[in-house]
Amino acid sequence: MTDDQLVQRVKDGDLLAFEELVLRYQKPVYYFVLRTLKNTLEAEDTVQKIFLLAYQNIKGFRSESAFKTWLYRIGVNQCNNFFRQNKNREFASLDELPVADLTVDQEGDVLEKESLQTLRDAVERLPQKQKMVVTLRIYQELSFEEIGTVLAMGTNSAKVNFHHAMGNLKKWMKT
Amino acid sequence: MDEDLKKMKTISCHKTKKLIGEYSQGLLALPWAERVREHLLVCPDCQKEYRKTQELVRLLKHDRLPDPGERFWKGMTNEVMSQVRQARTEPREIPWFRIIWDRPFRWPGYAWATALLLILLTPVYIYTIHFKNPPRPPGVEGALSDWPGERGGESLATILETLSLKESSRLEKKVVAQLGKDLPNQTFLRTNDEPFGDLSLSLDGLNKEELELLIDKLQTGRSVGFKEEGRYAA
Repeated sequence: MTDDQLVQRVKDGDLLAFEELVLRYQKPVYYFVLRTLKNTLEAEDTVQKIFLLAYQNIKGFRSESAFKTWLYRIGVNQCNNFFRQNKNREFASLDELPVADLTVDQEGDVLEKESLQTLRDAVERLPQKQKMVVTLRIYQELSFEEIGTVLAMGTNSAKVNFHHAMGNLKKWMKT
Repeated sequence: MDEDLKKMKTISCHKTKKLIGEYSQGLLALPWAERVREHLLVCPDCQKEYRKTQELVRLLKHDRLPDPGERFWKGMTNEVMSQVRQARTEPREIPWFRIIWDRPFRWPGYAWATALLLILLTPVYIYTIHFKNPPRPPGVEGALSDWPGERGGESLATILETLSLKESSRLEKKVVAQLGKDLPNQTFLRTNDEPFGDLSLSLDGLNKEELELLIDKLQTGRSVGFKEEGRYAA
């Protein structure tokens, strides 16, 4: 069943249809929020909030954009709300963000991990918009058009932000 | 050969580098993808940039977050659905402005907005029509706002005497507004036997002293006693 069909069923009161949507999108949404907030507990709470808000507002959802895009839009807003409310808090350092085990040889493993750490530091330095664009493009694999919808910017603006982000990352990875 | 190379490089290096990010991820549509591909065949500098971009994208994708496990995902789904079921049974708190907007006293919000607008605008309309531009009493010619132009017979003095209190007051204000204006020549209001043009134009021709005298005469109800020298004061 397509997302639009499931959304229509949810609007008609079918909770199982909503559960299906949760199963489809909880992983990508969780990973997106975790990369943005860098805290597993906060990410869990935020993801629950995102789906609850999606359910509460689903009657107002018109299929002008995809459900996935709409969900990420709620996610971006929730993350921004979190940052606004916790302006003075110190956030988890990048070291606390778990890294998947890499299946390469020992020496390659060390080098790769160092590069990854440098990369994470570089990504962290990016302006918020560029960071979001890179996350949504590389990890969530959204198209630039979808990214534009999620971040309330034009498609070209999303492309430009991505281009600048890549330029910055290349520059910082060198040093 | 050089010509062929030049043709293949029709897209500039600057443009190519801008599109390399999209191209490296297979997101660039034709014909740009083809142009970039052709350019990369012949431009070593852009090839180097392309390799760097590919490596960066590879490294970024390699930064995976660990999977917390099936138990975690099941727990999250259950928690979300439990909150959703709870939200279903509990009435959602609706903000007060939403209640007022949606259906206060069985009227929708836009009806209330229209009614409010009418209530606010009606006094303004009444004031404009009846007080600011009152209807002219019949039979009084030479009203200030639309003096019909030169006509025989009516002297300024006669006209002034027929003005209502409101019209006199308006004439006075008009005259006062003109005080201080520098006029190249002295002109006078024509009185008695001569026909008159537009009264407001006549006022334009007056100097400061004449205007003040006119005001004085208006206030005391006397006729104006100026004489023009050789021409109409229009």
